[in-house]
Formats: sequence, structure tokens, C-alpha cells
Amino acid sequence: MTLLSIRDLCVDYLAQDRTVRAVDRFSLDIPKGESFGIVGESGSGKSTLILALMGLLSKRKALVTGSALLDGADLIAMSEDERRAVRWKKMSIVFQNAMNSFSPVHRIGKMMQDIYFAHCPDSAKAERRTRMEELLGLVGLPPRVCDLYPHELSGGMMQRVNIALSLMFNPELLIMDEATTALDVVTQTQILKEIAQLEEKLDITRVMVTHDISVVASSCENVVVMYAGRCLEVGSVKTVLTKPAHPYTKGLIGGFPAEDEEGSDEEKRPLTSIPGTLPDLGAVPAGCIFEPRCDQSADACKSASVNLASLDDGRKVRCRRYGG
Amino acid sequence: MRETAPVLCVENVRKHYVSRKKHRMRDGRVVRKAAVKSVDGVSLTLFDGEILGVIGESGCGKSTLGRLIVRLESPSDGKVLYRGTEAETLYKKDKLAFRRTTQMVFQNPFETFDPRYTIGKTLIHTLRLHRIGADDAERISLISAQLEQAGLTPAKRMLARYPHEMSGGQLQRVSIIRSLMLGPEVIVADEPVSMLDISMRADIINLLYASARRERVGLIFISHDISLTRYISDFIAVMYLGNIVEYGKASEVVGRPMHPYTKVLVSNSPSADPLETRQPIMIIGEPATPIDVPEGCVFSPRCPEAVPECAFEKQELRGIDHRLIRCSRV
Repeated sequence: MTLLSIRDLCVDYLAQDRTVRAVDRFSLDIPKGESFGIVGESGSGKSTLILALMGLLSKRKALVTGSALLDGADLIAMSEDERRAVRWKKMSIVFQNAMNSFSPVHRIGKMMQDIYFAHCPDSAKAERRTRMEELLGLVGLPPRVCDLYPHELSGGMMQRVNIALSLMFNPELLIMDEATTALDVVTQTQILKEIAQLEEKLDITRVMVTHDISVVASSCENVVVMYAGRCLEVGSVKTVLTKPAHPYTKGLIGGFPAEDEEGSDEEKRPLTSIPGTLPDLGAVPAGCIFEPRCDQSADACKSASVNLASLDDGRKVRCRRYGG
Repeated sequence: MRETAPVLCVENVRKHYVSRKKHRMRDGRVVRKAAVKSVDGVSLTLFDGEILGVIGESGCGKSTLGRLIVRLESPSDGKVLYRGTEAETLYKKDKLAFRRTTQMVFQNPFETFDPRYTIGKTLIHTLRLHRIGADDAERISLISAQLEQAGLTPAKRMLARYPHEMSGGQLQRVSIIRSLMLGPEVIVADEPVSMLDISMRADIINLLYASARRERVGLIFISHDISLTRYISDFIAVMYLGNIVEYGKASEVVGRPMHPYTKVLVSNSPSADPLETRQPIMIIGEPATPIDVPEGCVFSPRCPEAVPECAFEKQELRGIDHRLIRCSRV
């Protein structure tokens, strides 16, 4: 069953004299219970995509078109009131900077209860307090955290509070936008593991947005590779990351040292990088968006636009050489 | 590789800062003044052309150690020796000559360039300051050759650019070249790629690797990325709360970690290979602050293999199997 179905989603940022297309005709189906990782470098449009889904982009500054059906309701066409009913309850988000998500002058418990109160005005005070402690327990924090201020918690604990908050109304879809990027490796892995357990327990579908391929490789089932606002390759983590098809995905993986390499000089495979930089999204070329940086480009790539083509192993690739 | 004398010797170096904030210690006391033991007795040696990786979580003192080595900080105790002479003496005698011996590459290249100077102006200024090259024309040709060798072509256009007109990867390469042009014997690279996108990372790593191998520069590579550090380094030092807990050949330390902390660190570092089946070791808590360090083994409160004695026994580095380990239970 498809939980979230995104069709031809476009986001245009309105600058003074021109528009910049940050997300271009993005389509994706997220089945219930399958975790997705969206990877891309800075400027690839991954965060813009998420903000558009959450309805957090200002109407004056960005034009969002297309559709995104969450359980049949279109997130893009929704009014602000309808959206309020969906946020937290059906979909919630955890942002990167945990510390900045809270007011520094209020206690954690007070802020969490405020949110609960805003959505359930009839709830009794004791009920709210119990629910807060229950939530903190879920992410492995003691109840006394309720009475602490944000500065008294470490980054990892703060991010746990944020995750607890996002689980408040048992959402079906949990979006994590670089949620573990600022944390240390050990804390990151521990939190990801806890989330994986919660996912099963609470029946949550998770979408992770990150620039770190290794995080996706170790914690998601599917991966979407984004570049310049477009989806270049999508499929299961095991097929895409072990046998990348798109030259861009290959390039990204070439930047990682292989795990089993021994240290001697002769054997070391030099790391490869992708030459060039992101194209100007205000004036994109007619053909393939990745063509100027691609090491396998041909003349045909420059003129004809390419679409996502399905491959036999279940993935989709946006490259002319695969029939796109 | 190790037949000659080491270029760099760090002997039992400590750096304690003073914190004048209110701190609640583990035993409940509240103190107004506390010693922050960022680096607490670190010794290491580095030979010409050798790459030493330093890994650890944030707050473990790895950056402070880097700053002590290039003498951006002076140690509270212990010595940093370059070819047998103390860094302090060298620095006092001739600051510029000392800076030519040892260079640092920082994390964020956009903060290490003057935004109002073009790349060319910054680099020429550096060379002029150190009296390298007879005149500016010669300096420009020296710089151009270096830039082109590092793949920054055409050099002429690069020289005319301002820092904001370059990508992070390009600018970081320029900052490495700026260091290399002084002919240093030691370069300390503190998280040189953690700010950069993956597609740019390889250029930096390859450039650093080539400089160590070709120019015989001793490189200290400070990072929290374990697989990358293993890739580039000959040796790895694992730090925890200001101490080295394990030191050895890179492939051995990461491939067969022996210290409980290294085991935790390695098992928890995510791999880009989805078929990797390593199970992360679960651990309680987060690194303690270097303000109130435990009396015995510093890792004992979180150690999955700890026994009650660990909380009291001060641990020393011991040599086992060609490596150094700070744990009596191994």
C-alpha cells in the first residue's frame, strides 16, 4: 500500500528577476513501512522537497506545483487548516539543529506539553505529563528531563527529545532532515538503531534526508539519489549502492574508500571525485542535467531531455544509456 | 620507512584550560573553577612522509593536540620536539622559520582566506612574507605550476578569483597548496574534508596523500571519519578524553580493534556498503566532559567490558603485538 505518492512536484523559488527551479518534476511512491533515504549534495534540492511536503515554504517566495498524496489527501493543495490537522498527527519532521528547535528559556516538559495542548485542548494536566514521560521513555530518556532546560542536555539527548516530540501523535510518516548529521558517530548509530526499533513497534514509515551515503546504507531500505532538483536514480539500497547505474551515483560511491582494502600503497584504489560544480538552476541546459560533469556523456546527452527509465532489477535511472 | 630520526616527537604533552563556569561534579560538589583536561599526557612520533590519523569523538582533544603540535597553543606540560629541538625554542627564535617547518590545514577553507583578496594576492603575499621567489613574476609562475599540478586549471583564472567564487573543494585545495609551497616538514590537517561534499572529497584526500608520499611531508590527519582515516593513514591513534587509548598500524587498529573504546567506535561507524553486516556495540551515555574525568580508566563508566577495578586503576599505554593499548584487561 502506498503511503505517500508524489507526482511531478516542482518548486520554483521566486527571486527578484528570475525563478530558480530547485525541485523539478519529482515523482516518488513511498509504500507503507519501507524506509527511504534521500541523498544528495548541498544544493541538490533535498531539503526544499521536504519543506514543500510539509508546507513550510512561504507562498510569496516559492511556487509549489504538482501533487503529493498522503493517504489520499493532497498535501500541496491543502489549506493551512487542513495541513494543521495532518502535521504531527500523520506526518512529523525532525530537523538537523536540535538545540535551535527549542526555546532556551522554557523547560523541555513545558514546551512538549504546549504542543500536546495545542492539538488536544481537552486533555487534563496529569494526562499530558504522563504522555510526556512515556514519550521520553520511548527514546531512552529519564522522566527528569521534563524539568530541564535545553542547555542542560547534550546534543544527542536533545535530538532524542526532538524524536520523542515527533512521535507524540503516532504519525505514519516520519521525516528526518539531516537529523543525525550534527551528532558524533557513536551517538548517531545508537540513535538510528533505536529509531529502527521504534519504527517496527509503532509502525512508522521513515524518510531520511542526508548527504551521508553511509547513513543511508546502514539504516534505510531504499535510496533516492538527487542532483540539481531531480531524482537521478531510485531503488533498493542493496542494488543502487552496490551496483550503481547512473554515472553520478558511481561518482559519489567512488569518493568512499572500500572497506576491505589493505593499507599498502600499491593496492590502494585512488578515490575519485566528480569534476565541476552544480549547474545554475536558474538557467539549466536543455539535455541531461548531469551532462557537463559526466564522464560518459555523448552528443545526444546535450540536446534530448531524459526521463526515469525502469530497469529489470526494480530501480529507476535517469540516463540516456539506460533508455531514459 | 623508519630508519631515520623522527621529524616530530610529542612527549607527554598536556593542555589544561581553566573554566570559570559553575560545574556540578559527579560527586555532587559544585565548583566555580575547574580544570578542563583537553589533552592529558599524549606522546607520539612522526617520521618523514608518514601519515598519522587521529580519530575520536568531539571533545576528545584531537583538535587541541593538532593546535599544540603547530604551536597555536602552548602546552601546559610536556614537549613538542621538531628534529630534537623544542617547538617553543624554535618558535621564539624565528617565528617565520618555524611556520615554514609546520603548517596547518583547517576545516573551513572559507574562513582561512581574506574575502577581499583574490587567491593570487593571498598566495603571493604568503610567499613574499617568507621571502620565497625573487620577484612577483617568479612567485606567480611558482604558484601557477602548483595550482595546475593540483588540477586547478587554468591557473591564471584561478588566481584572479575571490574565495567566494570558488567551491569549497577548490578552495581547500588552494589552502593545502598554500601550506605546501612553504616546504613544510609537518602538516596538521584538522578535519580537512568534513565540510565538503562527497564529490569533492577525493581531490583533497589524494592531494594530501600525494604530498606526504612525494614531498616526504609528515602528515597528521585529524578526523572523525574512520573509514577515510584508515584509507589515508599509515598509523592511527584513537583518542578518548585527552588520552591516546590505542595506537598502531591503520589497517590493524580498524580491522582488529583491541581496546574496548576502539571496538565501540569502529563498530558504530556507518559503512557505505549496504551488505556490511557488522553489528554496532551498544553503549550507554555520551562522552564525559574533560572537566570531571574519572579517576581510574577514563573510559570505564561507559565501557561494555569494564569490571569494578577499572574505576580505580589508572591505565598506562602498554605495547602488545606492535601496538599500544591503554587497557589492562586486553
